[in-house]
Amino acid sequence: MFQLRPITKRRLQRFHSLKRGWYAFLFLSICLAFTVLAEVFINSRALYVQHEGKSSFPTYGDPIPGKVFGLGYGYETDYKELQAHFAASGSSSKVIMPLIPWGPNEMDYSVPPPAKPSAKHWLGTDIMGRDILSRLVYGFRVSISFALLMVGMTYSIGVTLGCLSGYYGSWIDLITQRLQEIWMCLPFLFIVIIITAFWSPGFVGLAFICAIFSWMGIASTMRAMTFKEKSREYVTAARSLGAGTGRIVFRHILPNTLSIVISSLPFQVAGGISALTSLDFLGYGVPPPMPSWGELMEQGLGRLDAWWILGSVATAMTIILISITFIGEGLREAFDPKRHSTYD
Amino acid sequence: MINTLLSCLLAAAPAPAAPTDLFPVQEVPQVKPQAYADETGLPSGLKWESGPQQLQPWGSTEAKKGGKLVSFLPTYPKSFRHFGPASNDSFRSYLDNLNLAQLSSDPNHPEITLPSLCQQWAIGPDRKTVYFRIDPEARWSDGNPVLASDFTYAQELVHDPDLEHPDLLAGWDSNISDIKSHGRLSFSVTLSSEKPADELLYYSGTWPVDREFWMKFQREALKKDGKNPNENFGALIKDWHKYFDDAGIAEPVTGPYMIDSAKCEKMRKVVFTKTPNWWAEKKPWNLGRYNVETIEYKVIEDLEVAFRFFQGTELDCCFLTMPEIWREKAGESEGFLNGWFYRVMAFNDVQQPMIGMYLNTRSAPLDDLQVRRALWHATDVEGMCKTVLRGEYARMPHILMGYRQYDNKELKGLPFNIDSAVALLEEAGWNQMDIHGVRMKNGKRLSIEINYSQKTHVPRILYIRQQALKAGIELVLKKYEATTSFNKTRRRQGQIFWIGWQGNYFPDFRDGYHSDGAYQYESNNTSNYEDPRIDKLIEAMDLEKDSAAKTRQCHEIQKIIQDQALVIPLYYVPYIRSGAWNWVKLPQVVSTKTNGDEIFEAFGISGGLFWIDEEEKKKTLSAREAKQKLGEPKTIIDPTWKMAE
Repeated sequence: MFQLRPITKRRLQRFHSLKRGWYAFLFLSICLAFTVLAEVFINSRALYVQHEGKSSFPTYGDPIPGKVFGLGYGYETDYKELQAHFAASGSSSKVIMPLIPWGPNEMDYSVPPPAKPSAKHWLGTDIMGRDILSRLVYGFRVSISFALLMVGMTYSIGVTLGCLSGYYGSWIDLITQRLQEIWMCLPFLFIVIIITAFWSPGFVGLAFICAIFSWMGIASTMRAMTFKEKSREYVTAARSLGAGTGRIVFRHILPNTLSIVISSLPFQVAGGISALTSLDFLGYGVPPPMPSWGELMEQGLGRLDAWWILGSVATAMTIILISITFIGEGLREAFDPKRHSTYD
Repeated sequence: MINTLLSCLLAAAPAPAAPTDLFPVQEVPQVKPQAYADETGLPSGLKWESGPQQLQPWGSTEAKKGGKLVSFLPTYPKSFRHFGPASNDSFRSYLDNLNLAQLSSDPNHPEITLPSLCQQWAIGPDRKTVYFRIDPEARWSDGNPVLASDFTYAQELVHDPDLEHPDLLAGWDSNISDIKSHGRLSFSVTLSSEKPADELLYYSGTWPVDREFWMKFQREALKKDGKNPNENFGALIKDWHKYFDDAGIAEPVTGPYMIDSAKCEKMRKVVFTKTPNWWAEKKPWNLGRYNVETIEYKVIEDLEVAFRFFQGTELDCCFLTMPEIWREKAGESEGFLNGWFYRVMAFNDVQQPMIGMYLNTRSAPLDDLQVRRALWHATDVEGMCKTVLRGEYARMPHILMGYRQYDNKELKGLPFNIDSAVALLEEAGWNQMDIHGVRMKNGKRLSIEINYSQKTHVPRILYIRQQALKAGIELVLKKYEATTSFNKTRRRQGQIFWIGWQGNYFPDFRDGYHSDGAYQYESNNTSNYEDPRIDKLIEAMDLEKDSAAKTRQCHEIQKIIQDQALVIPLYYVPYIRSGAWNWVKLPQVVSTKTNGDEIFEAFGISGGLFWIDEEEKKKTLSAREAKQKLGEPKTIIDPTWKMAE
């Protein structure tokens, strides 16, 4: 059975006892779960359709052409139209729509956009007639996946380079240090904007570019940590037992420096979200029509008269970033080495 | 709805009263033949023409001289040269407009040819050569007289191996076969083929280069490098353009404004000032025009940002053709409602820009005609015009709108019809569907990239994308910075190019559709298309002397372009709209019949109609400061040049 080390257990208990961070963590977990299952709550596809005695669940899976339900077209059914059609024809067929029946890319030009918040669109629509709530939720999914992807890449590069330069020292350290210093001087946003102006990267490409320009911080921390840990007895012990470099670095040193990695993680995620939002805001982020907070923010600033655009996205962004920061604070507190480590 | 609203507005408005600020009809100055006494080598029996004897100026009698107008342009120019490497960007049209053409035409009566840089012209008996007599008063902005040798020098430069501008050479050679000097102020332009008279005048339009200036500049450049200043005399020196760009100067011009390179700020603004003692100031066609002393263009890439600058009075005028800017941003803004700035709309009757989705026929899956046709059927331009553009733009049935007889009005384009699109795609083997409803064939998705540069076009492209998805076609949006996007288009690096080409007065298909351009690294053959039938027709059109036969050939080419689905035409706009602060004044007829660019156009034959009223400026600014209403919101709609329906 999976068992936690006592120190980890103590740390988690400590994190649990820090209420602000813990509730923020719960809130963010719920948000994440919600965004993963967003299709069930916010979608242009129906949850359930009963037509001529046959039931179907269109939420996931291949699109169902309108012909199947007796609408005269071969492309994906417009379920809101289908619902109206069934209601008008008085048939026994039934459509159950999700709570918010608007997909993130669906345009509603029935009211000239941007439309004010109403029963139809709870948070109104953006300048292209798309439901803002829907775009917020799906945009959160995009932002958080981007941030996680970017943080994963950043850490892979940063931790590896940091550990190597800290462990080996000498010329490897010299070179990585200089590389890091040069890299740090490059203005991140500008470089990314220049690259994306010539090469229009996709989602993963963008995360990769961002990661390439943000591994330096974690690398220098990891270098210092490895440097310190390297001279501890357990490393000497492992070496005398015949352990190789890889084993020592990744099995012995790394777990002992993990608290640093973990406690900086939330801040990195928040940084990732902000990076994507700023890039999208400037028009160099994910390609449209991918839902994005930065794009909403940009629209909102362009249309201050349509307060609901900027209002919703600014509120959502503030709440999410604050809760991530709370989690970060909690983790830092819980993993504080002063509390758990003993130094010889 | 908006359409009806607009037509109601127009119908309700009383017929426009005759403008009271027009200049009286002017006598066109007489030509003094003694200036051309040294002419040699002219064929006998030339009939010199010098345009109309009388002319109605289109400027206003109320115009005041002086002041400064601040407007914007999307990118900072790569160079201030109008030839040589990196000179063919969007700024080129500004540079071209700084110089007068040999001849021009009355912008309100385009069939009337007017003198401009040249005073007289004659068509040679070979029907290929046009003879020109330069106005003896014509001067470059550096004071040098404009001479026939300036025109022959341009020819030498274009053919100079160090010019490094292959496009220019190709374009030149396909049109002009020779320029000869016949005296100090007389020269002839021989075209490579015979043409009808009106086209002869049009195509013999070339440009002079200030020979004195370039000679001196190159000598100094060589001297600075410690080389013999007379080395390479006459021809271009190697890397001449680098010397020029490094010197941070601008070429001398013959027109009313010149670039003030000392005041320009890289990536920030381009400044033009009135040419000192401009030689053509008193010509009847320039009366009441080019009133402003300084014109400053701030570099603002985005139209919405530009509008914000405008609202902050950092720009004096702003382009408002786009519906959302015209209606909401301007129409509901504080400045407009308080009567501090006004909106102005002028109809025009002119060749429409060829705005379309240009399909790269050498990029799979667009190499398949059926896919191209299916894409056309799946492109809902009408829906886009109705929803996103609020019914203010109209669907363009084919690419050659407003080209008089050349416009093949029988072509209506492929209608939006998902069923037809689906049928075509299934026939072409795109039978499977993926989970997003995108069609697949042999494991490849029917996903096509669309290359665009303007953020404001995103809602339009997204609307089309959503509709095309119904046929199982996925459009992937790729945004590039304006210059990159244009370069990518010219190199055909991409699949669909969302772009508008500005055409000439006569339709010209050689540039965009002849197979010559299909294999070049950079060319305007955006669809990368090669078809011997089109080539043959284009070549025939070039040689054709008969206007009717030419029209037939032109119609036929348009038909092939439609049948092959090379371009999906998008929309056209038969008017231009702008906004300006109260101190920017316009004549009562605010624009000309053929002005298709901007009401506050500063250069060119339609340009420079506005003037600045300093008193009004003080008044408006203080009212704005005090948040005081100046009057009812003012929208000028000028239907003078509305196209007959």
